[in-house]
Amino acid sequence: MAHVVTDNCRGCRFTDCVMVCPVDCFYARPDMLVIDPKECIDCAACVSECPVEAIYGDDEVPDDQQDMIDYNAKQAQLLKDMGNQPITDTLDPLPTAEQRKAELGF
Amino acid sequence: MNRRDFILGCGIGMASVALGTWAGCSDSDSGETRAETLARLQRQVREYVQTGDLEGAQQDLGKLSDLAFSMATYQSNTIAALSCALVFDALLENGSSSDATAITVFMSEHFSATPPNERNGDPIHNKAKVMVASELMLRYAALGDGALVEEVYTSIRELIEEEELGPATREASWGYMDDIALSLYMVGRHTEALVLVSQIPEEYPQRVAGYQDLARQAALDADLQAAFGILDHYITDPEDRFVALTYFNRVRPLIAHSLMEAGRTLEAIEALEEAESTADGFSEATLLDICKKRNAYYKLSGLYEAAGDGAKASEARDKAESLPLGC
Repeated sequence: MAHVVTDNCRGCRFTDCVMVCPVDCFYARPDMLVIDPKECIDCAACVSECPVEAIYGDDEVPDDQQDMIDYNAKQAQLLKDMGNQPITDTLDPLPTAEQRKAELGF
Repeated sequence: MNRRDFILGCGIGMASVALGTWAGCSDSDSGETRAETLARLQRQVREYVQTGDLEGAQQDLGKLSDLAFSMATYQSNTIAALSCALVFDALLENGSSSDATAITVFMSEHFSATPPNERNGDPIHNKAKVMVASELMLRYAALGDGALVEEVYTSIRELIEEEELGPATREASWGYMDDIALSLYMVGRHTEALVLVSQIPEEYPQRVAGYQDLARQAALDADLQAAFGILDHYITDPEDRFVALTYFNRVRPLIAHSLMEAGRTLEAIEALEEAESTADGFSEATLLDICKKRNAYYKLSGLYEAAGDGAKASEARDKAESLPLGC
């Protein structure tokens, strides 16, 4: 069991979630964050921090986002294999973040 | 009450049987690793809570807790403590405050047992321990126990002031300071709570979130004027004010949403009217601004509808639809 970052994060990457993760399981792609399911302890602390409601437990992921479960796992592993460390502090949101957030209705 | 008393006492006769079975269960017996067993128990506790079977939840919580202690990692103790918090909340909501209080015994022990976070086998900070402490503080605050809130708060201060890991713990733990401040506020330490939030660096979203949470608590504890006072004094951005008056996301209700959940519909509508007034003042300078303003009115429309005020819901929707699409 783990939490999953879904497509709402793409183009936003607010990183509000990172500060509350007790096990540092977030990795940053250029366009979005992903969660390493091997590290996530399913605490759900990140869910309430996301301004675009991008994070779900893997048993609650919307039907049209199911592919993101596998995507998070593979991308996190890829980033680790490339030598990336988990992110442990907030990053500036992407330049498209506010526009993307508004387009998503938030 | 100690943990063993709790386990034996919590399960309507089955707990001791379950505990005995559990104590003899090895990895090879079950075919699971201990981490997999811990995750399964964590999921089962959550499912029991979701289905309202709090006896089942408490039984599995006892097993989970024992396993977490034996694993003795920061992850296992954090999982156990947060599972305790989940069951605590359900018990308190169910009116079982004595059972909820007993759960805090477990939580407190897991707080004590949580070792520092590690990287490559080396301790790096006490972030997870502070998180567990902040959750424990919230539960003591929910019980109205100011002395125990202070005890945990003192422990947190010691963690961030200790010589070796303290500086790293302080930097890693800003994300929990809003919850810690909320606990102080809930037991009447309003000024200290506001001061603590003011110490969160501005670049962290938990600073604004902290003020929003305190305003929400003020609305629940006292009245809207107390909440508006916090917003007027500490929140300058109109969008942040609008969020404080409504909700942040699907799992973080703020003033109007929380008042509705508490059945205080008239006050909720008053908060929504204040939010509407705030949205009326949103800029329309750019297409993005217009898009945000439309979204705000749609959000208001949904909340008015939920509060049973169809006329205001319709007015807010009309305001949204009178604006250009924007995005």
